[in-house]
Amino acid sequence: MGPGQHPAMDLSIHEASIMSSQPGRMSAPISGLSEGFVARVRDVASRCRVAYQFRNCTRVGPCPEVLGRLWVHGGGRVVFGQRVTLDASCAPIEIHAFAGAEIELGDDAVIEGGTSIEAMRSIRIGAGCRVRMHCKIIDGHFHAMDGRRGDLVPAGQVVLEAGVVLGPNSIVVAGHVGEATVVAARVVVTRRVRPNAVIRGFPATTESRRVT
Amino acid sequence: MPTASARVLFAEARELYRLVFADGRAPFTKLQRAMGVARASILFRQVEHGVRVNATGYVRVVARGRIRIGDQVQFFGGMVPTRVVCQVGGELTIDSLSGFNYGVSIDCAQRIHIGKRCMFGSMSSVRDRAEDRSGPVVIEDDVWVAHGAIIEPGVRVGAGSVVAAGSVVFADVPPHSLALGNPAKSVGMDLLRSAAPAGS
Repeated sequence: MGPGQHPAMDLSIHEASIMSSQPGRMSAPISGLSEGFVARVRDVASRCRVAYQFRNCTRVGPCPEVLGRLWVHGGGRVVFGQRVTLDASCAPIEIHAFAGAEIELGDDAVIEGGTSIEAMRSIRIGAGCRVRMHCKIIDGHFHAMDGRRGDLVPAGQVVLEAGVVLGPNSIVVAGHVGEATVVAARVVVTRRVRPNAVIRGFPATTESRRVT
Repeated sequence: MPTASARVLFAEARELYRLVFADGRAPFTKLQRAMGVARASILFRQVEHGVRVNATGYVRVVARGRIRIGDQVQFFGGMVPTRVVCQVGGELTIDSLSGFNYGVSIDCAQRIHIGKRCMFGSMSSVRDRAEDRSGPVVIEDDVWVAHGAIIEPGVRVGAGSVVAAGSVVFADVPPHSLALGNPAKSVGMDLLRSAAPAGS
């Protein structure tokens, strides 16, 4: 299965087949309307919903897939590549680019629910990345360590190169993760991580380097 | 799909919206603040609370024990509701000017004290009773508990300390230090002053 062929893609056809195989269930079509018509209405409705959810994005590539609630906030630039999957069916996804900041999501990237991406300067997520549930990706600390906590501190940058997998509940604060690195669950990344590595633990250690 | 002219109109409307509400960091409008205070007064109706407690999002409050909340405590909304639970016989005090981001979980069975001007990041959690251990938790003034940090029972976090994002704190944290890791280790803040800023 290629990265663009997520099993839940092409939702309308999928749902239509479920409806025809299980008549009399909750999703049964209203009598008098053909199944094809109902499927088409659903398709249009879901497209409208996705268009509304993408209203604050600067640019979105073709064939995006959104399940559930997607929040795009702030006055910055938000750019999605082709065939991105935003699966917020369990918890909402929050994408927040402050004014002047930039968030880029590469082709075929998958973001799971509960993930929050907040940029004050720049966050780039490469092609084919997978960000699993309840991750937090931010490019700065947002508050001063001591003294006046309300003060904004200068932000760094986040780069996840192509094919990175972020485990559930992991946090990236101004880090640079190399190509195809796997980050385990509950890891906190704050600096540069080499490509093709597997990192786990907090403070994080490189467990192994995959042979490519 | 909308036609080209509709698109242009839509883009212009969006630009206007951005100009007016330029940034998510802009302070809350008076109306939002008033609504937050009103919501808080309903949510915390069974709880002893000070003036101008503000809840811009949903907070689940279970007050079987005694909860005291100081002046101008803020609860921010987000994707996960905040949970403030005090069991029978528990005593939970939150001092004035503390702020809680979304998804914070405070679970009190004996005693939890949160000092003045504390900041709780999203999804952080404090509890004073676990499966294997229990004990009162004291978080002194000006503590910053960052995103996803967990404070375990019997811990005292000193004034002005920072609990780093994702940390799990099992031992006491001295004042003015940074607790980091799982299990968390504390580092003095003066060591960090010479450290490079984020992302370099």
